[in-house]
Amino acid sequence: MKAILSTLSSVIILVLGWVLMATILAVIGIIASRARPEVGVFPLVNIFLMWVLSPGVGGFFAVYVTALLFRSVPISTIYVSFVSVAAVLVILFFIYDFERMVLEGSGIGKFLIFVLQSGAIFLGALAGKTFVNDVRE
Amino acid sequence: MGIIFKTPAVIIFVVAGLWGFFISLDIAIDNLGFLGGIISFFLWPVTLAFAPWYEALAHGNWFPCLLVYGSGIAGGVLHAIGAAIDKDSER
Repeated sequence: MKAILSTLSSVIILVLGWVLMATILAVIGIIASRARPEVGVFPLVNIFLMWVLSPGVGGFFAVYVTALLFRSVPISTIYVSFVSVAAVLVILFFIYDFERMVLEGSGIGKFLIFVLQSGAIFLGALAGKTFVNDVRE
Repeated sequence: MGIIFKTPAVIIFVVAGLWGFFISLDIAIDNLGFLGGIISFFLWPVTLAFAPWYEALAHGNWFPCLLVYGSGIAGGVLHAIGAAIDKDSER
């Protein structure tokens, strides 16, 4: 039962972490673009970070925070269950995005961002697992 | 558990700090020219500290100040909360 709860909470924490980071970066972006609208490359970098760094931080928090909340559940169980759920979602969205790219010609940019986001989630989860091992030991 | 607060704090420091520095450098170049910009680049802590205040007081644009000092305060508070949680959990 605790394993199921930990999986559910890891997915919720992924979304919360993602939204939290995206909000923080969006606020920084809004303030900075009002400070000097003509400074060129940083808005693009900020948008890239919002798209790619935020899911990575979400994935990191998902494993790390869940492992600290459910100390009786082994970290490998939390990590594997989270990655499994994330992989299923990634495969579903991959099919949807790939279909849109091929059939509707939506462009490779969105598809590339999706691939980067997926990679960021898995890398973040791996980092979370590594950090939790350090804390729990 | 403190890392929950420390991670956003570090990201705020890095993103807002770098962006704020380049905005401050832009302000310095606008007012001091190219050579002044080069000097400002190497004296970056002074540029980061004073250029937003110049922009605020001379042109009434408080957003650079809000970006540099606001992010510094917000990041500092988040980092302090994270450090306090870490200290508490060590006991």
